[in-house]
Amino acid sequence: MSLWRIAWRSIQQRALASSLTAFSMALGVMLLVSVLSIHGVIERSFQTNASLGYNMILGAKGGKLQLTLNTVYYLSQPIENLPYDFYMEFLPRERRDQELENALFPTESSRDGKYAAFVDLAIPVCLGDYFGHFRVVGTTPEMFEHLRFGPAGDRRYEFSKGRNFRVHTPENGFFEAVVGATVAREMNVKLEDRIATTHGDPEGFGHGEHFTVVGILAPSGTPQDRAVFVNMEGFFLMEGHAKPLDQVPLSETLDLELELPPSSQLGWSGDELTREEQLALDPLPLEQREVTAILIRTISPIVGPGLYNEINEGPVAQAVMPVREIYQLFQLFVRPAQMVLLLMSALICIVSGVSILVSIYNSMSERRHEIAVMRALGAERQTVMTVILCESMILSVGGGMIGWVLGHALNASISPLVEARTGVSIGFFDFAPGVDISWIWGATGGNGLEVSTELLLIPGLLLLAVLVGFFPALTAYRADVAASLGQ
Amino acid sequence: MNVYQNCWSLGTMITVLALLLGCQGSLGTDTPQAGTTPPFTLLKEQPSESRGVLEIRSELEERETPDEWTEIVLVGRIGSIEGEIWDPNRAAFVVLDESYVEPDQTHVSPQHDADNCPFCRANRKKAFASSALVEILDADGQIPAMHAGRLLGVDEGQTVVLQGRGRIDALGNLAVRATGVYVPKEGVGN
Repeated sequence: MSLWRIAWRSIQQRALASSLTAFSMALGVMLLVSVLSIHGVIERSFQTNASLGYNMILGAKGGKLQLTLNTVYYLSQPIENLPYDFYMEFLPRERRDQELENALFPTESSRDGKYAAFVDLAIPVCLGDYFGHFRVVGTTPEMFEHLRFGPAGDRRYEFSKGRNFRVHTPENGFFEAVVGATVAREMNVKLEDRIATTHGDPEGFGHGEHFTVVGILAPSGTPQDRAVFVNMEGFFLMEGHAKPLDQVPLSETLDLELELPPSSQLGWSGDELTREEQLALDPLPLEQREVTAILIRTISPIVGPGLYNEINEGPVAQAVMPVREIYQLFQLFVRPAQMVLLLMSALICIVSGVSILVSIYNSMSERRHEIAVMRALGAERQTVMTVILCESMILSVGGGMIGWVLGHALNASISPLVEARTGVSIGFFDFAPGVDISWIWGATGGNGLEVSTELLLIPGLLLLAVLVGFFPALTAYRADVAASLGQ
Repeated sequence: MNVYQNCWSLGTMITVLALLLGCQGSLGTDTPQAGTTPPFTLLKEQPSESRGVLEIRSELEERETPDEWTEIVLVGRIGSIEGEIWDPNRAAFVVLDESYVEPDQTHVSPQHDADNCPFCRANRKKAFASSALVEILDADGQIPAMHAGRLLGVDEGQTVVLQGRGRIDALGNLAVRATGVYVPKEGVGN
């Protein structure tokens, strides 16, 4: 009979006590695994530049973190708006010319935007409205046509139903919308539904305009799941969304002579517009437009710092590198919290280890006779000691394995909650991020070997098992055969 | 069977399995691959009258039209003030003036917001003047869709001499389009 089997039989003999001991270890490991993997997945997701699909956010001057949280995660409140002509500086000549067709006073000649040569993608974002408690994002169809996400930056946003919204269609005019997967589920939104948004607050005034839902996004595990995306042209045409003309230079004497859309008028009527009235609307004049932020993907990462400095030196806007802000947020707030949780979980594991020690040690007095018989049958002192160590390893590693499964099951079960709060989903097989262990064999820099911190638990548990099993094993080693047989 | 062998072989197996399962690949830096270097960009001899980033920038800025492309021969060290050095998808990278020394940041608190500090901004602007953005052009005048380090067989910290055209772009960068690259032998310029 192998020593493992003898150890296993011994555990079976004290089934209840052994199960409880292994269970306490399982709970400790479950907490440890859960903390490691949840934090790891979120951190990896937050920090991966490619997961955003853009490397810079431009917004009004103010808090950098607020701009990042507001634009990336749709949390917090918008700071202020940016002039529309600033956004146009990122557009190539053809796009600018198209935009200028909507200008009340088209004075500029045809040209490339000042920064157009440096950007691959410039997506405007207009924020401020809500649909239920979800944020409404006014943007262009480029958001889903060109933006990629995921660790490799190669995942496209897909639609579980319908299609992307368009700038203008004969059937819906400028009022098309796409909703995120979570929004569709929680608000029971279906294709062709006509939705109205509230202004500035979930409980704010309701807009009279309605957007037709033409697409529902497939779950992406990103904050986009929790937002409603409406066509920016329609967003501008909503009541209260136009910059008052008295803020437009030289327009005071001209505004009375112009035919402006209802949204250009001051005041708030709250009147509902019929579909026909909506279809009859013309685009909002350029001079009355503003955007909350611009998502920028530079043509090359090496251009980023130059553009960043240029924008921040200027008087109009601030540029933020979202990944840098998110990283700092982690360093300041999240990492210390993680350390506390990690420490607590590790302490639970150690306490569980001690309980294994106590459990085996307490059983030693009952097993003196059993050990003496083994010795009398020819087993060496080392053999008896090894059986005890094997028992300790089975309890530690077995409990640890159960804990690992429970930890990942816990992660998977709370994934919807985490996703609802952060937009990040966690699967059963999502491991905690790796650490470089090449220092063990003295490798420096270059080709390191990364091992998930979760998997380091296995050698850790083996070590713990040997440590806690050593004392009872030593007792077994020293057991007096003659005295024990005589009992 | 020896009991120790039993125990240790199982332990070793578990540990090796753990390492194999947890292995997430290596995190190596890109090693420049010699031999893939196309001959059209590599110069066999160092072009004469090469000048540093600061000198060329200063000369271009004095012109009436600094944004016009001008023939230059630039010598610089591969590296960046902050951010990326290489474009992963195109043969483009950043070089620094050889006189540039990285400032001592040890006294700076991590909470210090350099973007909103006028002194830091001024220093950063000054530092950025020491850098140039380089694009390598092939025989067709196109930028090869390849990491420049692998294309040229060069790495961070190496000195390169670039022959081509330069200008000051709309962001104030010294932009260089190199049609010829000379890589000095080891030790030169380092």
